[in-house]
Amino acid sequence: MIGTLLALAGGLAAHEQRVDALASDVANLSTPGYRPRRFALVDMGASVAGHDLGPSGAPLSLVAADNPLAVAVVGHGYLQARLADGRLALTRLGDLRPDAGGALTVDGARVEPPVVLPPGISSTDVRIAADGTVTAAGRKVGALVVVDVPSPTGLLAVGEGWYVPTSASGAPAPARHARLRQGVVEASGTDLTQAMTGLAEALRSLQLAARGIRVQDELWEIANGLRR
Amino acid sequence: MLEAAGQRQEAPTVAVGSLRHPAHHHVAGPEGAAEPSGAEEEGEGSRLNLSRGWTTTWAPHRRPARNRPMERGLHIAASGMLAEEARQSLLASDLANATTPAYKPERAALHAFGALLAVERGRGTLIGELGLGVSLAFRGLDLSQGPLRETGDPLDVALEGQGFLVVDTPAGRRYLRGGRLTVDVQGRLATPSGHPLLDDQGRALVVGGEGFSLAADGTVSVDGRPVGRLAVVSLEAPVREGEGLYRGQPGARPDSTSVRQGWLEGSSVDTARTMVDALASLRAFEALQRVIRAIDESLGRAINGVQA
Repeated sequence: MIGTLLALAGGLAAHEQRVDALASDVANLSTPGYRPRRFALVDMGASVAGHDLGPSGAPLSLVAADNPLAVAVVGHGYLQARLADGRLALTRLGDLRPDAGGALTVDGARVEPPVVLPPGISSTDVRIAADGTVTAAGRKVGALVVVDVPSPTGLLAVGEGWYVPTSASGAPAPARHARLRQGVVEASGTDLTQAMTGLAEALRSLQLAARGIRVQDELWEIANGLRR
Repeated sequence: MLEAAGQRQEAPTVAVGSLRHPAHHHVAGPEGAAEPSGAEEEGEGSRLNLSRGWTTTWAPHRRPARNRPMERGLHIAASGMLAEEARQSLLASDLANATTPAYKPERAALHAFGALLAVERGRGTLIGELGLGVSLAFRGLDLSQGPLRETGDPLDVALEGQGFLVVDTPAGRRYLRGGRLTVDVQGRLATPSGHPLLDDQGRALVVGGEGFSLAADGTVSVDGRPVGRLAVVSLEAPVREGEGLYRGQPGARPDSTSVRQGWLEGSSVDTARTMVDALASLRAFEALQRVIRAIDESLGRAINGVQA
């Protein structure tokens, strides 16, 4: 009986985790480039457990960007940049802007390897090809590298759409299944209908597990009543 | 006198040790009386307490040296309580996994241990069967297809039709009904816990990332080139091991099973029925508790009566 109670309590915890993941999806309904969390429920014999498998790899829809330098990674891959603390980080948010020295940055972090625009060039004169080649006023100035890791599940999310490769994700290598598109950004991947039905399902599952706990409790009470 | 001509009809599970061979059991009752009433105050002239409707309740026997029928009644009711408790733990597992992708509930049914056939000794009139208790018998998994829903996630895989995917674990080959998969650090298609899926040659499927496609026949292609075909096997006597994995005897690839990428199979648990079963089982548990208390009271009165 105690085992069954614990199993149901484990179920409560797993469904709560799922509600959290879905709440994050709903909260990021209009965050550009947000990828819904992949949450897997797996049975654990008598109980259930939740696995957070990281961001989903499903393709996101593209929307026009205000920034002429913005690029979207189409397919499986990431732009890499050097964070202020020296770590190499990956992102799919291609909101590129030149810093004071003309180097292309994402959110203040210089892309790696660096691409430096010549002085005095206007953002509208910069072309970024599908393979990453950057030309300014018709002259090649560098190339953006799109990388991918073997296991995106293992990436460590460090916030603001940045991911740091870990031993669980594997080292970044040039992506085989990705290209760049200039002038667009990815919209949020949250499908509100899916998120809300998922949320309703998770809440009902929580209720069901809670109800199961009450039944177990009553069962125990009856067993205790055997001897007055 | 009444006599119970013991006939054990069927004992599908282990019998409780305290139950003797039914042939040695005799039920005493008043001469020719087929509708006895409360037995406990009658001392030696005991009878079946059929008036309460509990065929599992036994009256004291005329030859106490060979039988302890009151105690047997306790054991029978207790076996019922234990069976209901086991059923509750199964139902709780179903409730917890009501939304787990590809979860298959376990089927179980209450089974009678066997029965005694009570016959009136004087005229040979048949009184009927008397139960000896109950146990929970497992009947395997309910492998019916769960509902399929589209997720659009390339790493979600569902099977439509019978069969299981093959997974390599440190404990040997295990079988998976589908669900949310991942790609491990070596680029292999794997379960959430990191166990690689195998192709029909028994090799891990190296997809190198999420950019792969999966055809309905299980063929995995990377960059349009096939790299292998997911093994799908039928499974004899599957046993749930947790983490969505099963063990059992693998068989041939089922004919009409298709593999769906970007889909998930829902849980096969019928929540309404599971909840109703849980409540029915709870009330049965409660009723059996009352039976035990009633027998306990009867025993108490018998003991105190002797004291006088």
